[in-house]
Amino acid sequence: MSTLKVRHRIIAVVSEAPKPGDLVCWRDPLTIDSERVSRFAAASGDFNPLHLDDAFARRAGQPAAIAHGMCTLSVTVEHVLGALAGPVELRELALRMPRPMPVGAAIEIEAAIAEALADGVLVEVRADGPGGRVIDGWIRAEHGR
Amino acid sequence: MPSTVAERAARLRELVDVRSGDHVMPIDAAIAAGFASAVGAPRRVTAEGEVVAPPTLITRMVSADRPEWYATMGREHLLHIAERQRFHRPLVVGRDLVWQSAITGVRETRGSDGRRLWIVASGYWFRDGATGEPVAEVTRTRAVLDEAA
Repeated sequence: MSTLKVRHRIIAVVSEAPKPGDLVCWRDPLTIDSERVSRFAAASGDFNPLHLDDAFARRAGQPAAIAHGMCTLSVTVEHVLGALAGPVELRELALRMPRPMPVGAAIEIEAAIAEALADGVLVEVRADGPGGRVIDGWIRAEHGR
Repeated sequence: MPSTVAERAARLRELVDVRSGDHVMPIDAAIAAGFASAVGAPRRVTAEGEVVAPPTLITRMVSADRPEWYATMGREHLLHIAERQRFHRPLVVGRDLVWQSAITGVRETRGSDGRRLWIVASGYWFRDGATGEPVAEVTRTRAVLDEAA
């Protein structure tokens, strides 16, 4: 039986043994601002001007610079891992990025337990930006060692 | 280098399942700390006290040292649309990762706005530089947009 605990968040169901449907987080807001994107570019080594230069992004058909998909994804994943109480280790993720995320915009993150596993949990994850869904999929986390 | 996006897609098809050579990248402490700060990750350590980088730092390995085929896609027409990562062991700071990559599929389709695009899937396989043990596998899916809207 899993011993992961789900942190209480607004209407989250708190459970010693997570059950499918237990909320991990609900519409938690985070901003993907230019300062974060710049730091992500430096740390990831991805300096594609599509993410850093509005004029370049407009020439590429975007209204303005868009965040790295991996920046939005990583921020979302870390937020969800942090919302799972106790030490957990990310073992797997499968996430789609259905639309670009404008730099400077906020996302709202939701996550819920999809399945309690023998050694961890499978968590459904989604994040919405100004134009709709920007992250959608699942992560699998195991108990930390 | 092919000049149009369609020509690039054709070239990418020729490269399907052609594995790159070995790339080697250290899991650098300062880079890992900067990445953790950018994405809001806490400090993590193994049971043995080794510092562990955020798992999605794995993207650094392929961004800072692009595979040979990456330039063929053309960065101004590129969107990262899906990611799958599987970890066999944590990214321990101070160790070297050795990795290879390959394009695993290219297919043409149209977006909801009718714009032609190519879906390009690529795989990355990471192993520990010292032991050779598998560390992670990544499947990255990108859309390469046609220049004609």
